[in-house]
Amino acid sequence: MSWNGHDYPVTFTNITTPPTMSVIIILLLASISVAALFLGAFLWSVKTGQYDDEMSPPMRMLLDSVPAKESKEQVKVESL
Amino acid sequence: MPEIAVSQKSKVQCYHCGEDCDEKTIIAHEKNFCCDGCKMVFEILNKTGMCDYYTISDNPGTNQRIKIREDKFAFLDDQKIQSALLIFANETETHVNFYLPQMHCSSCLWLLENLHRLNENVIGSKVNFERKEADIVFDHRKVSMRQVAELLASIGYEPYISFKDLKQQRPSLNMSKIYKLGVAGFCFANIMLFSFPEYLGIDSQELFLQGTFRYMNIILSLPVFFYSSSEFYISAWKSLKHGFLNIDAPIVLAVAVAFTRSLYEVLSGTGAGYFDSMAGIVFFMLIGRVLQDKTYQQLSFERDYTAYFPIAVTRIKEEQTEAVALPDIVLDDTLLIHHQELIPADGILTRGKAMIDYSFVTGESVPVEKEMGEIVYAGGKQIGSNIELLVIKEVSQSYLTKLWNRSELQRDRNDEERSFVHLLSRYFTWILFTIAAAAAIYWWLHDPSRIGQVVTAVLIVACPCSLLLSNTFTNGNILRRLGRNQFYLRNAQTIEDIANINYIVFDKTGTLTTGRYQDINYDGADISESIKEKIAVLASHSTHPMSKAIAEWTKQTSIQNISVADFKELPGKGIEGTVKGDRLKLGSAFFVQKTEQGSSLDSVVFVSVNGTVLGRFGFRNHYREQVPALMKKLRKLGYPISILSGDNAGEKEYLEEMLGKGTPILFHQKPEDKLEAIKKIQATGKRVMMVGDGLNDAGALKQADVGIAITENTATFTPASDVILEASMLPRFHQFLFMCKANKVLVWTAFIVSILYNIVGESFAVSGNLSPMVAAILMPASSLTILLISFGASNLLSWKMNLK
Repeated sequence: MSWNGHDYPVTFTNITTPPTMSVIIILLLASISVAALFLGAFLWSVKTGQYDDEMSPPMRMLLDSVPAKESKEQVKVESL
Repeated sequence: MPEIAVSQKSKVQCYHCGEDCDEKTIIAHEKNFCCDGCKMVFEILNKTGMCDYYTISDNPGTNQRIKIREDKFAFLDDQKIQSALLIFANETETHVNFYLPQMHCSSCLWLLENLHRLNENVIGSKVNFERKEADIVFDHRKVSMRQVAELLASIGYEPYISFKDLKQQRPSLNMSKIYKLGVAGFCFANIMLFSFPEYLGIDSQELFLQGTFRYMNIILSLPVFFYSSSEFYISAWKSLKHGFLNIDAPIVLAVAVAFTRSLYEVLSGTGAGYFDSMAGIVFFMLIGRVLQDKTYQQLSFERDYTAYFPIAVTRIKEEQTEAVALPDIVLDDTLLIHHQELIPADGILTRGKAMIDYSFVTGESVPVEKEMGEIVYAGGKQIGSNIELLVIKEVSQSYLTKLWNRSELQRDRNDEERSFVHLLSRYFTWILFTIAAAAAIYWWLHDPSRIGQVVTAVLIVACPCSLLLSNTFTNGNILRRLGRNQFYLRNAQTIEDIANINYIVFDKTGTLTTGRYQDINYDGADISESIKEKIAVLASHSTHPMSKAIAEWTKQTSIQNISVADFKELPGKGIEGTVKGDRLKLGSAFFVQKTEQGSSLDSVVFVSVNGTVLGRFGFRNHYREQVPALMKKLRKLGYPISILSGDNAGEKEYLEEMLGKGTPILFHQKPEDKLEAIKKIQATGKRVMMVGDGLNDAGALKQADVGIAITENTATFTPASDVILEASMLPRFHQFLFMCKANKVLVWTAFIVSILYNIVGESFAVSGNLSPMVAAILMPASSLTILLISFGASNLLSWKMNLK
């Protein structure tokens, strides 16, 4: 599966040869890993309790407020 | 000019709470307030420059007319109670979670998250709006938990702390289904993508690609098969252990068959398998499950007496008062009960005059007077002055608590086996096996090599996922629709239970009536304004709610300066006194006339002036809006109705008129009587729905096939039940019943449609032509049709009935 094979340049009729296939395999892996990244993000968001309360965040973002001193333990405690 | 303005805008609204102000409007800072409490909250916020509170939403506060007793939160100084309530503490900070039922708008959120601006020792606070809770972090070296609670109370958010908080941790949300759904969605989408080449056909020269895609599919299907589907394996296994075939069993079969066959096909290089269909089934069914499992975080359907009782009361020990946690109360303790406080344990009244409102516990609409030396039962609310009690039974032994511990109320009904869906799925499974067997015999005769292929195809394509989908999606949608109309169901099974009931039992006090207000009608000689004034003066000298109601009825306002001479109050009989030279008596027939005459019911008060009887006041409970109309509609729908009331029979005639002669209406029903009455009706083969509100209905609510608790405010206590209904929606009760009935029709319709799809799919499978492509088209098509039917029809229905 080397890139610098002798059968360069690729023609469309010649698309089935192994060097081009490797491109598809790489694309495939790339797309899967991007999708897996999103899956990971989703699972993380559920785990950190972002779906526990669906009502306050939409309100909170519209309110201007002086930010409170954030406590480090806060998140940990909430997920208990 | 101001007068015109007032008359145009009929009432003045309180700047804080938005309620109409009566005559006693307080004007301060150029704003109107209905009471001192509201004004005080405003001033606190004004001082700290937090008036943004009023600009985020209009009149965001809650009414502060009822003052909170000064040392109400004294119990929070108790170390034991503190440690039970806090979530986390280190040397510098303490985390505590308070339930704040008053929370209702974005202003509340803003204010509660800016607590640190009101008190710099509060480090931070975070609101969970759905649960109406606030996590508060404070520096316990500088501010105590009690002070934090008092700070919240001072700005109008009084924390609600009950006995239950001492005992158990709140349950955490179960998110495992969501994880499974996420994984299944990810795998399903990618398997579909990798299967496209198979659908579209692959050149013989591209076999290398084909192989790669197939092996990728195997890898992706592993998490679906082993993780996401575990939901169904567990459920199917559980019911199999009970010797019962539930709907998940055929689904597990289909998933397992699809997986093994696909695995075999790919590994042996004979085909691509049905990984896409399998992942799709699991994904869609998990969506249905998640939809159906809608929970109302702010509600609790499992409350028992512990949630009703306060966390602590005041105990008198050696002339000192101290706060004591409820479980620590022992025999012979002397308790001090304040106005509006709950009596936590059975005891003997040792000081003060008890006027106890038992309406929530027994259903009696009129408070009961108790003399010194009498036994007072737990659960009532003291009205009026402070009283002292000598405890004769500990909290866990009291009359009220015992009712809860009755064995028949402890058992849980098996939700699973009741649903008709499981029955349907059982038929489905047998028919499926018959088809598979028939196909096997046919192919054995014609081409034995294809038996395996055909039989597995039959099992894969006919999986009853459509039935399950139609069931879960319709249930989920109806659950949400009803919830939006403040008819909150415990779970999806309740929809079916409601559809199946054929007998309705109502409680009276607090359910059909509001319990608090009473309608008065006067019957007798005309009363002049001057006599009215005298009656008002006399009546306002008593704290008895009937006297108060009479005083209100007279509509006399300027009576504060008139005095009563020779005032006498005979508990349970009446009051008398001399006002401006006239001797007035208010009370029972015997007390006023010295003769036993007329009805002997409690709800009549006679009035006499100088010995001549003028007439009588009849009291009637104030019925909720449109109750008679609702009863009519329910009877039209064919439901027999009964009424079980803990109250006296004073309303009998009115109720009979409303419900028609022959309706069983029982009075003086103790909590156990209600439970037994429900059992008796059930013994005649009826499926009973009980609608009640108080602790006295708790047993009946649990015993009934469906228990509905009515509440004026979902934040307050309701006994354990299947449904919680907001009282204002009671007039639409019949529509909710109708929705639940329609649910079954919808599930059936969707099921029939899915059967049609199944016939098409089976015809492919039996003839041995089920290509992965056909399966991949049929499966989403049938699911989508079912989604359309269940969502479309239930939304159309609720739109037609004008429901939200």
